[in-house]
Amino acid sequence: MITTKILIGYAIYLPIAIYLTLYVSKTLFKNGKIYMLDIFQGREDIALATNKLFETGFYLLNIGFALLILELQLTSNNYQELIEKLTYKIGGFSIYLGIMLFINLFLFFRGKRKSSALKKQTAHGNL
Amino acid sequence: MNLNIIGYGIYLTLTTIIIYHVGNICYNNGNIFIKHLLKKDIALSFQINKLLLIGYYLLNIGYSAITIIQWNTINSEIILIETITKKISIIILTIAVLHYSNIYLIKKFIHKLT
Repeated sequence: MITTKILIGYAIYLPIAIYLTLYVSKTLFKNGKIYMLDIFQGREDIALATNKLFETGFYLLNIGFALLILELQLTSNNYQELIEKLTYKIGGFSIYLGIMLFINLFLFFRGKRKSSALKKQTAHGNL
Repeated sequence: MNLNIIGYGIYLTLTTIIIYHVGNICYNNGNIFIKHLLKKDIALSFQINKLLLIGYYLLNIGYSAITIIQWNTINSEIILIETITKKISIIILTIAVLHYSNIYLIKKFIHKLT
């Protein structure tokens, strides 16, 4: 039956999508703490707070998108179409996650560049 | 017999949990920012932050509850899963957009305070 195949598709897609976002987010923001500590020059609680805020935004954005694209339409009653559509969706979501990861990395680097420019400016201003 | 009521229950529970947790994370980190960035009237700012948190709960939980009126009739489990995920994803994406615009606005206007 088509409906059971669609249910199987949802039961495969949801855990994979949620697990991928959790994994990417944990890795990104576990290593991002070190960047934040560097940008905020050792003020540990502000660094952790900013990291936590960006992590929350990342979770919200990606889980929202994963749930948005959940709907699966099957036109024929065979597993081939299910596998094709499912893998297309999971692949597209992975590409989107990669793009989000790179955008966040870019924001980290830009923050680091601005903070080191500010540090150089105040060092020259003190001389 | 349709499955709308089950859908309403699951949707409202999940949305309230998400709104509550995101609200508390922003409130706690907001207190940390207030402690570091504002030099005067810190106690007043803490109270204002708490009030904003309560207002945020009311607005968001109320808005997510009101949208229940526009649900279509749910007849099978598949439509149930699809409807719940679509409505929850709209709420989550709205919260995400507001979250990032808050960060941007705070970054823009923080210099006027300190």
